[in-house]
Amino acid sequence: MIELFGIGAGTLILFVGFGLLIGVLFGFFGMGGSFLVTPALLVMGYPSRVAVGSGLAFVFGTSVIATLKHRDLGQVDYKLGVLMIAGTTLGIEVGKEIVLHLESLGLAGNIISVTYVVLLGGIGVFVTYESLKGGGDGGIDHDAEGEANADDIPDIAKKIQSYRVPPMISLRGGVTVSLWMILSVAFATGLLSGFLGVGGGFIRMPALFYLIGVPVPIAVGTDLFEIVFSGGIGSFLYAMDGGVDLAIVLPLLAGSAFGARVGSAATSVVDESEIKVYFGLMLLGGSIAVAVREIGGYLDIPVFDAVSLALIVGSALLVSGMVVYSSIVELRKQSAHQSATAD
Amino acid sequence: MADIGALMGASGTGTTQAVVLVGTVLVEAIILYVGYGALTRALEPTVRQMLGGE
Repeated sequence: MIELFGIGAGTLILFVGFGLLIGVLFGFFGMGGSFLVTPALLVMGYPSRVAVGSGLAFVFGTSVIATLKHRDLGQVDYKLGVLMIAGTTLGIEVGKEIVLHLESLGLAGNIISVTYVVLLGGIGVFVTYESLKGGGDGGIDHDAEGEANADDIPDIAKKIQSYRVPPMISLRGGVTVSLWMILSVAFATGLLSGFLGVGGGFIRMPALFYLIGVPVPIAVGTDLFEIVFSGGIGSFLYAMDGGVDLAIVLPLLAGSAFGARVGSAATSVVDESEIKVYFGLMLLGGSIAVAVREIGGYLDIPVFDAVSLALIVGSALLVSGMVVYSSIVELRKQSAHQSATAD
Repeated sequence: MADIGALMGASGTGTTQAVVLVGTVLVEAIILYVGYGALTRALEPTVRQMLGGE
């Protein structure tokens, strides 16, 4: 087994454990794959091509598993997914062109890093603020399985839904939005994704909820459906140049497949108002980690890479731990309630 | 996302290698989904009971 993977038992266990951690986040939030795996592989000494390619292949495999699970729960809107893929693809191409233009001006590296840090940190602050302000009633609500409750739809989404430019598209959760609005949001998220060179789950999932007003479970499921395609195509392109190392991907996937089940199952159990704060803090931790790495690169201090990785893994560990802990607490509550009812 | 130029211009060997690699990941993902699914169904009542503190 170990011979087959060509890596030591310690590394194998590390990969499976790391995969488990990411799987919980991926299954629960529909994001968190590439921005965790790729930096970790880079710090472990893998070449950039292998780190990015294997990261993409891992994200592809995990998104297949998580999408199948969300499909079982009726949480994937294929129509919205296909429209998002179309808009996102165009946005990514334009984002890449902007990067190439900035590269020719010698400005790409700095602008991309600053945008990444500001965006990741900004979304982190926004989600944390919304969840603290909502006191558990507003913002993201994983329990919204059926029709979207008007009180749960953010004001920006209501505004976007009010622009009734035909053709209008009916989505799962009773949401009706103009096709052009969906394509615009998809294009904008794709633009950022292509510009920053990231999968974009952390942009797309909040965008589906906050801008289009899709209930969170469906936003997560549809986002994952889109990642199957983007991750599949991305890993295929890297695999053609030998950038996908199965010795990394297979053990990571073995761990994440289990984690994704736990994370997906937790969406129907956990009161997410508790988790949202940690989700926002994880994004903030991620933005600080990227800032630390960039500063380390700028000042040529390699130890900053390790500090950056510790920050990323630490925040991921905190959030996935809270998801599991909250699930157990909720199950215990339900069990106690059932016992009391039976008495 | 999709670099059509790269896809169209790919050499046969590179394409075959990529199909095998991505296919392997896909097959592993489906096997794990089915396998863990069966495991979850078998163990879920016990685990729920244990976690529920009963």
